[in-house]
Amino acid sequence: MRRFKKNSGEQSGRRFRKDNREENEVKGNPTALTQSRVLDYLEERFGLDKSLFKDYSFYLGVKERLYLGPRSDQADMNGMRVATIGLMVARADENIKPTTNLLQVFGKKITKSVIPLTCPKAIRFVSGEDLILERSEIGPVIDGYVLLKYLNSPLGCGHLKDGSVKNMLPKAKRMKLKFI
Amino acid sequence: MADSIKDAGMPGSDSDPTTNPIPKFIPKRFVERYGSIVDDPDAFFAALAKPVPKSFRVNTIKSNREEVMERFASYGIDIRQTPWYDDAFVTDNLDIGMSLEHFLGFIYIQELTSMLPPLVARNELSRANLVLDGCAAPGSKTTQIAAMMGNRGVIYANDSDYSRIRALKFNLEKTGVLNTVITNMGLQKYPPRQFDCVFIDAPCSSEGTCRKNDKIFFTWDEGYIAKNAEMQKKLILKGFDLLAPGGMMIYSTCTFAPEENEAVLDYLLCQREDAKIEKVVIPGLKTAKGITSFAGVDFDSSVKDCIRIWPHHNDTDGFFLAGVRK
Repeated sequence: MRRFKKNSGEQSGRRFRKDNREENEVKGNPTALTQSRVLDYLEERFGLDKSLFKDYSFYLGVKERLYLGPRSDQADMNGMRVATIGLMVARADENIKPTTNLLQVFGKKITKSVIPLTCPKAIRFVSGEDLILERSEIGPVIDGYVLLKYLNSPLGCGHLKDGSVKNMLPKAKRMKLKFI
Repeated sequence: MADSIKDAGMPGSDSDPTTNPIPKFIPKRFVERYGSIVDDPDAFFAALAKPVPKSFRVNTIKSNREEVMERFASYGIDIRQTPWYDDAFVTDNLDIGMSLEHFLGFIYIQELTSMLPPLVARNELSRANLVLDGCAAPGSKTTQIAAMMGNRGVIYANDSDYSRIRALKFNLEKTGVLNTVITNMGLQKYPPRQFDCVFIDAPCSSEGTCRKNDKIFFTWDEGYIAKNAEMQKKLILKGFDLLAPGGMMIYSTCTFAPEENEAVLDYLLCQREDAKIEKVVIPGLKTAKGITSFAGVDFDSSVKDCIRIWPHHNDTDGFFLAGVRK
């Protein structure tokens, strides 16, 4: 087994902050209300059918983070010190915020709130820049969280407001693209 | 072999360095230890001086090899499929980490040898429900296991080192893995379970990675190997105890040291009567058998069914792997 080395270029090549041990701990399953609120949002905003998630379970972490992970009737965690489960899909506080990882995994199924980018703008988005878009690029998409796409590649999450997109890519994911 | 070493010259000797095929960073004791168990010492030591080719795996959770091949062809980047694993590729281009496909998690940059443990358990994984990756960080194998399970069932991805959990989490999320529970505890404290498949990719002296990181020799000595072996014996016993009857454990290291490899399997066979080493075959990959004695110590004859990957055989890192059935 190889030890992860920062800036090695392998695995992720990213430097990770020293962890706050409490940060990732999962508290349990969310309330039915929280879960249905998030599922309704994903369906209305992105056209993601609720049946896509039927083989998995939702879990609630600290700071109202919602995770999609293995079915809770299969995942027995008694006696284990759990750091995290599955994939963080959204923050479910007052305003629901989807994660880039969710939009990338289900990107091919997303039918609404999608903004296609030109190649230069896709490169800028992946590098972490905010974008100002033309009206014609935005099309019928209304303000709120959006999926930015380049051709058929789901790049990640942005927040559209008044014609500009705030870049929601996690800093550790941002990178300079050489091949696109 | 003695002649071979003498002819080649020892590190730090007076022989002409330009004709010395043994890299200077390799300790003399290392040459003595492995010169006698490798089939072609000159080729072996010469291979250690060369960099290991860049390799990656197609992440079938998010993409497929046809799509990846097409995309890299459009960039004019030459990628070559390995003859032993359809989803594994090598390339001379060192910048594939700056590709859109890497950003999207369509590919995962991973050493070829690191892909072997899930690969040999591919059939088991296709029908497994509960899997334990006992030493999971930074997640290369876990992401591959998840892909082979079709992102279904449950993988318990454990690492005792909390500083490595963030990298593990990052890589699992990047590759779209959903079926994991990441745990952070010493494996010895793991509660009783019956896993269909257990992976113990044990922390080791990492000799096999010296093509990429010759700094491993700064701390290398036989005391370090012995210390690792003690810890590995505890890990393999615990891993085996967590297996369901009929289940399969894959034990692997990236070191050449028999004390950390065959001797650890021999220890397991002595301690657990129901453990049986299963012959591992990887069509298309040149492998060597496990050795049955080293430094005057004999091992159980069935350790010959383990496999050793020598760097000069397939132009990879060094690796050791064994399949154990309960």
